[in-house]
Order: sequence, then structure tokens, then C-alpha cells
Amino acid sequence: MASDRTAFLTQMVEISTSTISFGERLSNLVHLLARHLKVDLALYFGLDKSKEVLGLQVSSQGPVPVSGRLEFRLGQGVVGEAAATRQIRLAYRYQEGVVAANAGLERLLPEYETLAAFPVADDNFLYGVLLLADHRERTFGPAERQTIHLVTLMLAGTVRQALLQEDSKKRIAELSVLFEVGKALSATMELDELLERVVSTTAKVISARGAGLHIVDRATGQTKVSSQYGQVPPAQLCPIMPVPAPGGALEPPFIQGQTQDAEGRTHYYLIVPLTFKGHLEGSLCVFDKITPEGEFQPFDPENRQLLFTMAGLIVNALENALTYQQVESLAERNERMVRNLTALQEISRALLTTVNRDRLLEILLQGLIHPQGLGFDRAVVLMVDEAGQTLHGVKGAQRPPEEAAELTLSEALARPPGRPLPVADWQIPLRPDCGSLALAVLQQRAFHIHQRETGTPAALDAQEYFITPLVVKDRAIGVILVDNQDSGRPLEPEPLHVLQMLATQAALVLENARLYSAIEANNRELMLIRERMLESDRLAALSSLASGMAHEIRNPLVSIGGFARRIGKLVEKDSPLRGYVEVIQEEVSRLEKLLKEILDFTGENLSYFGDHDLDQIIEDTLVLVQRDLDAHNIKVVKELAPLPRLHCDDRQLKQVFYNLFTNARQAMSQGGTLTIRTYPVEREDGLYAAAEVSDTGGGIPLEVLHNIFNPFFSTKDYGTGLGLSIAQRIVSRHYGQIEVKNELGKGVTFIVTLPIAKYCLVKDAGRQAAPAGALHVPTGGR
Amino acid sequence: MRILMVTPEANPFARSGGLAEVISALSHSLVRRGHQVAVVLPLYRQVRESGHPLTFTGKSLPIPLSFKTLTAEIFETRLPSGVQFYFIGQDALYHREGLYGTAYGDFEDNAERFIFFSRAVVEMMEALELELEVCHCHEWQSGLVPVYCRTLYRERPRLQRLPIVYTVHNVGFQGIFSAFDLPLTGLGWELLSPKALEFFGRINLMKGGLVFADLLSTVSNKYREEILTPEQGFGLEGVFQERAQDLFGILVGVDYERWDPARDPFLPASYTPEDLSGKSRCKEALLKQFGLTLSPEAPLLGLTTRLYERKGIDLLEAILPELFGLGVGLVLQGTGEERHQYLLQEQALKFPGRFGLSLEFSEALAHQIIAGSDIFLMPSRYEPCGLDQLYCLRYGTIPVVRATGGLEETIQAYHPETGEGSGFTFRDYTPEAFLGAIRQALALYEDRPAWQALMRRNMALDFSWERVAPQYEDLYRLAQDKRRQALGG
Repeated sequence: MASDRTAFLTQMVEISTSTISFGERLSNLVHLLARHLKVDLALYFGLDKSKEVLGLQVSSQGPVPVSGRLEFRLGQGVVGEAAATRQIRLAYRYQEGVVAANAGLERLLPEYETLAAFPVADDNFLYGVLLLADHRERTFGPAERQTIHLVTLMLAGTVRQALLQEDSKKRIAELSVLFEVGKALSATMELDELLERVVSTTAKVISARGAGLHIVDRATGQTKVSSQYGQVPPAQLCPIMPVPAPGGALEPPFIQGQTQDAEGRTHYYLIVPLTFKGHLEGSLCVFDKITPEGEFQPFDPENRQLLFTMAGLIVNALENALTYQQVESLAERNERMVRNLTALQEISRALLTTVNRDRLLEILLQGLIHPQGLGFDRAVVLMVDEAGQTLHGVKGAQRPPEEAAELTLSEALARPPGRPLPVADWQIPLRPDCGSLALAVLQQRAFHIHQRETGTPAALDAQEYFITPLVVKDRAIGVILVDNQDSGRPLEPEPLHVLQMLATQAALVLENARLYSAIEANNRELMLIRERMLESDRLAALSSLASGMAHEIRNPLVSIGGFARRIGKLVEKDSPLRGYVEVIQEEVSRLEKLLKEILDFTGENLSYFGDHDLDQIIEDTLVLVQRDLDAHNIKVVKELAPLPRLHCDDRQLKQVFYNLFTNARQAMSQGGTLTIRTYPVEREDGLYAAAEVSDTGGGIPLEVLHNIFNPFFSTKDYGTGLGLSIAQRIVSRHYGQIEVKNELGKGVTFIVTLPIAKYCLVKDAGRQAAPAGALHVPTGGR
Repeated sequence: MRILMVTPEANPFARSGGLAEVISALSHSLVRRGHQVAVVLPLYRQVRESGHPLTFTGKSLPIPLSFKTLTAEIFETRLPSGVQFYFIGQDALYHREGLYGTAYGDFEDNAERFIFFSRAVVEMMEALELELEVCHCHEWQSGLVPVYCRTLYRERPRLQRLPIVYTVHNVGFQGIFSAFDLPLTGLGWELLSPKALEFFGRINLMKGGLVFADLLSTVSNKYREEILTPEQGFGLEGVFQERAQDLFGILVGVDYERWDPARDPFLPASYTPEDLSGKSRCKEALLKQFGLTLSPEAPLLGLTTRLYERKGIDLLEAILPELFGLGVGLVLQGTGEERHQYLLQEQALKFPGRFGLSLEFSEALAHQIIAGSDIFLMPSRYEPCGLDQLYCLRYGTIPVVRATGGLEETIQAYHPETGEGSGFTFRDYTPEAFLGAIRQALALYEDRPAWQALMRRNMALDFSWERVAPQYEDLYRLAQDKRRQALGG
């Protein structure tokens, strides 16, 4: 027997010190005891956390089913009595009330006779009760009692260890949650995500059905942040709790309680305050702690402690996050300011690159609407018309939808706005009763309009817009109007501030441009007058010189010619002198021809004016040069429109076209196309007939272009240099104009414009020559 | 294909049950079919004592476990069969008697042990830069491998594109631990939800595998159907139903190189369907080994089992007195719960010369019992697949099984009229039904020619791995497709 007992105790010690899990240790101890004592049934009842109920945890019969657990309240049945008194309780079936008090045990061991309950406790705590049941009536001797006592001590030790272990696991879990939350809190400043995480982990660790968090601004009572997770009662959401007075109670205040829902189910809640240093206050709350069976139960002090810790963490992190938010917004503002100033500088620089008003307006509008500029949706510039005392639209632009991605500001400034806004019909009288646009000019101040006014142009459909005057030297020369109608964004104060800075400069450059263009116009007029005077002076001098010389030369030449012809008749056909005489005759006739041209130029010959058809004149002239053109492989293209007849000298006009055709032929020595077009032209002073003569001879070199109408200027070896100047003279004598369009590398087009019939008869003695301005001769790159 | 098997046990290094055999045989036959297979398991004391030389790979991986960090030392070895083995070494966790517990029960720190194992395996795949095409995880002990790959480590490209197949060999063991063990995993608390690891307020590692693996499988079609029901799903039936599309049943195979009476080195005599005389000598040797006084003609019943109620040991205990009343002998080898050990020991004392009991496990004895018995008993409460009944078929030992799971799928009831069927079955989990089936078997045993015809037919049946391995190949390919789809083509 003794060795049997030793073996049993050895095994007991082996089990209670083994590394197997707590439940299996307990179960092994109970099984072993049952077998050793040869009792039918051994059960272990554990005291639950409420310290009021003992629940069956281990049975020597095998696994304990989870559902329908056997339970005894403290003091109920032998199990409850043993727990309440911490004394061994023995009961026998024959004793009164035993069957009734221990009804639950009947199910496990029907017809039991003996029940023996032993408290499982150490020096300090009671953990549960060991119950032995047998179908025989039996007692337990001192040796057996001692054995049982030893086993209950081992059970107590095992349970205590298990509780400690569970407790430390829980602590570690809590710590790891706090650690994780802390890490998350410090890793991210994304408040929303953070808070969501805080409430969900809070709920999970406390195994609550829901959790919520609420923070308000103490001064305004406004909700700053709020977050919830799981099942939160709809009606009540984290009431804000009063801040505890410093140095008050040891434990911070909390609210704990329970409510009943419509179905009579009890709900529990626990709320702790969030105490901030600054102007915020809030609370953190959990709802309905759930057991693994899905029951609701109240929160215990440990839960409260964890919640306090969590609250402390949140407060710190939140304060940090809010500070961070402030710093961030400050940095953002700075960044915006720098960006605005950079944009402003870039626009200013672009404005200084030109004095052309149209370009200036384009730059200004691009700067206003570009996303990297001031970024308004639409912008319009209106200028004051001092004479009419009105404000009229000059230029407007609208931000193209996709511009942002494509162009940088500096690229955009270099080109016109993509979507112009038609504003030419905006006309606002400058009277105080004509709305803010007029007032902005009259009072020279900006207006921020939030409600569309009557009297504004119909195209201005925005509700909110901003008007700033363009003021130079105490005079408003116009206004700039901007809005964000397309995107519906409000107008922020910062870009508006920058706009006003830009307006000052814009006004200045626009005024400069106006002054510059006025000076330039004056200057150009003076230049023209001077050029025309020089031209007529020179022509007059040349004419008198040439005609004088021609007269002097003509008489001797007639004599030379006459005698040469006479000599020619006298010289024999085969005489060697014959060749000389013929040379003299040819040279004389060449000189006569030259003389005639000079006299034509100087105008000292008679005119034969009549009514003639321009197309016919051209056709007649073309016949004269046709052979020459064919010989040089030149194709002729004619586009002749029927025209009214001209009052003109047909011989002289034939001369004009003859000269032009000859020039064209000479320009196309390698062949080409000669194009002749006629068409009517309507001008302010009446109807004209135009004739265009184009060649494909490569154009006139720029360095000689300005000389082509000058007399005696020739690029050819055998030219008199009078062809074009004669043509010009003849045309201007007919009150017409001759223009040249030069396309380098392609060819030249001469356009002859002649007034039609009735106007030709009106002669103006003052107009000796065609205005030089009519000659659109390029002056070369400026 | 390059395949990694993640398993808590594998022959010939560490064995507690059939899983070890399944892993090594499956790996071996996949290698024979031209695949590269590596197996990873913990470096238990049994592995060190197995006599195979281990090489340290030089990789020591720090694995965080809540607030502490333990080092996983990776060892390796390659078997002559061509299967590569890796071992996760951490002596504080694995250098113990027993794989999962002692005779008294499971280790209290099993959560820590196999959370560590799963995470170390994932880290190992990265550290050794294993270019795997499939990862095949087995049982709850590796359930966190898919969870880690799809959550904590999902940013790693190697792990992200790795298809994972998860095989459940027994839903009765799920690795359920306290929710407070979650910090050990390093996973976020958001996974403590019924959609992931949470299981009635606790964490369930098998559930993690079921939720996060690409494809799931179990070890027989019958068992696959059973675990979709509350009776056999052990609370996971909902998860199985949800993933029924991805859940496949593939019967395990038999390694006939180790289990063939014609060449079994553990037997005193070999035999074939043509010459059964060797089996009688095996029986005689077995009787002698256990000191049984049974006549050689009397029927000998055998079991190699584990002493748990799920194996139907309580059913056997209930019929023992009646059984011996039928004039039979019984040999039983098994380890397991103490109270059953005591009960059986008491019974063995009551029937000396008739009841041979060995409360240990030896592979040699397992072969000898299966060869030497006439009838083999498997009264399991449930049986995902079961291997012993398949061995018995090859050894000409007629199985008496409960019609459940893999047993129902592989053993058809014998019809005396047609002679069809391979064994004797019963459905109700009662001692009477069990005894009834045994009586049927004993009745046929009296008809020697019919009995021997049945033996010979059974011995010719083929349950080899060669028939099974291609099905796993298909499963792996399906998992690869599924993974590709999940990653968007």
C-alpha cells in the first residue's frame, strides 16, 4: 500500500510540475486521484471571477461539454458549502435535503450515495472545490484525507499558476496593444486613421462590443474629432466629463453603468475622460463587454485601468497631432506665399519683354488663369474709353480644362490664352449708378462681389467675382475682373491680394505701352513725310537733268542718223565700209530709243487717253513677248476677270506690262511659270481694277529690294535701269499704285491697281506721285 | 516544380502519427516524378537523435515573439531519395521529449512553439532565397504560414506571388489558443476577427490557414464532405462551406516500398498472394512475442492505435470481455491518454495469454502486428483517411472498420453472396454494432477458402502514391493559376 501511495504521489508531482497545459494538468490530477481512491467520479469546480459561482471544469468521466454547464452558487449544495466555509463537506443520500440541494449531480452519477467536497485553496485564496462521488456509502480515513489534502494543494498551486500565467499573458497583450497603438500614434499624424485604430483595438482588447471617442473644443463646444467602432448605442455618444480638479481623488473619475434596451437586455458602459492641457476636452468609452458565450457583462477595474492608460496615450498623441497640423498649415501658407510671389515675379518679367499692348494683355490674362500663376478660372480686362466715358471689354480668357498638366507658367506666358472670352461687346457707362465695374474706376478701389448685381454684362454669370482697378498716376485706366465660376471654388484672399499687387504693375506697363505706341505712330508719320519729300526732290532733279540732256543730244543724233542713212545709200553693197555704216545706224537707233525712254520718264511726251479694256491690253502685250517666253520655257497662266473699262493711255499701260513681263522673263532664265490675274478691288474711294503679275524666279534679294523703283538701277548687264521706274511713273500718272510682294526663294508678284473709268477723269493737280505708303515694300528685319 | 512542404513532422526524423509517413512518401514520389521537393519541420530532439547528419546553413534568423526575440537556426540535410530537408532550430522550444506534449497532455507553450515555427519558415524562404513555385502547408502547426505571407509579409514579391496549398489532415486538432497569445504572432489586432483568426473569443491557427491559403485540401473525399457538417466540422464547418469551391479531397497513398509483405525487413518471414505461408509464421512470432497461448488456428485480432476516444478506444474497452468470450486473441500497440492505459493494463491482467498489450510505439511492431494478425480493428469515431486499413489490405489482414471518412471511402463491406468488398464495416458508434461486425468477420474466418480468396484479392489492390501524386500536381497547378489571378494575371 505504502509503495502504491508513493507511486501515486510521485506521479502527482510529475504532473503538477510538467510543462503541459494547465487544463490538462488539472484534468490529469483529477483522473489520477479518482483512480487512486477508487471513487466513481471526481469533479473539479472552479470559482469564477465574480467569486459567487462555482462551475464544473474537470470531470474524471472525460471532457466537460461547454453547453449546459453544471454550476453551484456559493453556499449551495455540498460544493457551495465547502467553498463558503472552506471546510470539508460530506453528504449521504439518506440525509435530508441532500438530493434536492445537489440536484445537478444526479445527472452525472445517478444513484450516488456519497458526496465529499474538499475546498481547493492555498493559505490565501479559495480557487474551487474538489468533489468526490461514489455509488457506495463510504468514508474517507485520515490517510486518504491527507492524500486528498495534498491533491487539493496541488490543484490550488496549478490553478494559481494558471491564473498568474493568464494574467501575465493578458498584461503582455495589453502592453503590446499599447505599444502598437503608441507606435501607430507616433508613426502617423493621420488623425482619422489613428483614432479608428485606437477605438477598434480598445474594443478588442477589452472584448467590448463597441467603443467610441469624442473630443470637443472647450470654448466653443464644437466637436473636434469623433470616432467609433462596433456596436455603439445610437442615442448616447460619449458625454463629455468634467475635468478632475488637480490633486483630487487618487483614481481619475469615470462613469460606469448599465441601461436596458427595448427587449429588456442589459447593456453596460464605461466612460473615462480625456484630459488635455489646452482648450480641448473629451472622453473615451466602451460598451458591452462580451464573454466567449456571447453574454454581456459589466466592466471590471482592470478594464478601467487599461482604458485610463489608453486615454493618456490618446491625449498626448492628439495634442502632438494638432500641433503638427498647425505647423503644417503654417508651412503650407508660407509655401503658398512663396509660390505666389514667384508667379508674380515671373509674370512681371514677362510683362517687361514687350511694349505691345495685345501681348501685354495676353501675358496678364495667362498669368491670372494659369494654375501656377494666380489660378483664377476666368479673367477679363476692361479699359476706360476717355472720349466716350465708358468702360469697354478688351480681352478675356478662360482656363482651358487640361492646361495644368501640359504647360509650365513660363511656357504659357509665351503664348496666347487657349480659350479667349469674347468681351468686345461689354460696354459700361462710367456713372456711379452702373454697378461695381464703373465704381471701381470712379472710386479707384477694388470690389469683392458675392451676389451678382444688376447692370453687369450678361456674359458675367458668376455669383462671386472680384474687381480691381488699374490705376496710373491717380487715374484709373481700366479694371481687371476675375472669378472662379467654372470650378465653383471660393475666391481665396491670398490670390486676390497678389492680384492687387499685379494690377498696379499691369496698369503701369499698359500705360507705358500706350505711350510708346503713340510715340511710335508719330515717329512713323514723320519718317514717311521725310521719305516722300526726298523722293520727289530727287525725281524732280533727275527729270530736269535728263530732259535737258535729252534735248541737247537729240538734235546732233538726228543729224548723225540722217547722214548715216545717206551714207548707207551711197556705199556699195559689197563695200567694206557698209558694215561700219550699219553699226553707226544701229547705235544711233539704240540711242534714240534710250532718249525716248528718258523723255517718257520725264513726261515730256503726249498722252493718248481713251477707254480701254485692261484684259485686252494685257493680251495684246503678251503677244509681243510670247515668243521670248516660249524660248525660255516659261508657262503662262491667265486668270483674267471681266472688268469695266479703264480711262487710260493704252500704249503707256502696254509699256508697263511689257516691262513687268520682260522683268519676269529675265528673272526666270531657267524656265518657270508666269501667272497673270486680274480682279476688281473695292476701296473707300471707289472701285479699282487690279492686275497681278507673278513669277517663280526666286524673288528679289533683300539688299536690292528697296532700290527696284529707282531710275537707272539695274541688276542686269544690258538694262537701262528705267523699266520699273517708268512703270511706276505711268501707273501713278493714272492715279494707280504699283505694289510688290516679294517671297524669297519663290518669286515676285507685282500688283498694279488702277481706278476704274469715271474716277480717272477727276484730276488732282496736287498729287504728283502715288503716296509712298501705298508701296508695301518690306524694309528688312528690324 | 519546386515545392516546399511545411509540416510539424516527417519521416524519418520525427513521427507522432500517419502525417510523418504521408509527408515523406508524398515528397519522395513527387521527387521521383521529377519535382524538386524540400520539407521543413522543427528541429526536435528526435531529429537530432535520428542519426542523420545535419548541416548548419549559416542562417540564424531573429524571430520576434511579442516582446522577446528568439533565434531560428536553419539546418539542412538531403536524403538519398533526393528530398531536401530544412529544420528550424530553437532548442528552448523544440529540444524536448515528445513533439507536441508528454504522456499527460500537450505542452502549455505550443502556441509559442508553432507561431515561432510558422514565422521562421516564412523568414527562411526569404533568407535562403528559395525560388519556390508552390508552398504546401500541413495541419494547424503551419496554419500561420499563409497568414504571414498574405498580411505581414505581403510586400515581399517572393512571398506575394507564392501559391499556398493548405492541407487539413485532421480537423480535430486546430491549434486553439487564448486571444492573449495574439501578440506572439506580431499580427495586427484587426486579424482578431471572425473573418480571420478569431474563434469563439480565442485564436485558431488552423482557421488562419483555411482563410488565407489559395487552395485547401483534405485527405479523402468522404472526409471532405463530413467536415462541411457541424458533426465533423468542429466549429469550422462554416469556414469550410465558405471555401467549399477551393476545398479538395485527395486520398493519401501507401508507400509500398516500406509496406509490402514480400520485402518487409521487420517481418520474420515474407509472403505473397501466391504463397501465404509466411503470414502464419508472422502470426506465430507475434503470439510468441506477446507470450500468448492462443492456438495458431484461432483468429488473432490486432490494433496499432492511439489511446484516444476519437480512435474508438472506448468502444474497444467496452467489448473486451465479450470479445474474449468469442475465443479470439488480441494484440494492441498504442500510446495515449493515461486513463486508457490503466484501463487496458487492468484488462490485460484479466486475460493473460489472450491479450497482448504494448503501451509504446515501435515501427517494427506496427509492421509485425499488421502482418501477424488475421483481423485488424479500426473503430474510429472519425477518420480523415487512415493508413493502417490500407496497409492491412496489402498484408492480407482483413479490416473491421467504422464507416466514416477515409475508412468508408477505402473499405467496402464484404458481401458473402457476391464475394465483393474488402472488409467489414459498421456505422453506429455503439459497442453492439462494433461487435456485430467482428462477429461477421469471425464467421467468414471459419470459411478458410473464402477468407483466403478475400485476402488474395485485397493484396492485389493498388493504393500507391504513384496514383496519388499526379492529383497533387494538378492541385498545385490550380493553386498557381489562382494565385496569378489574384495578382491580376
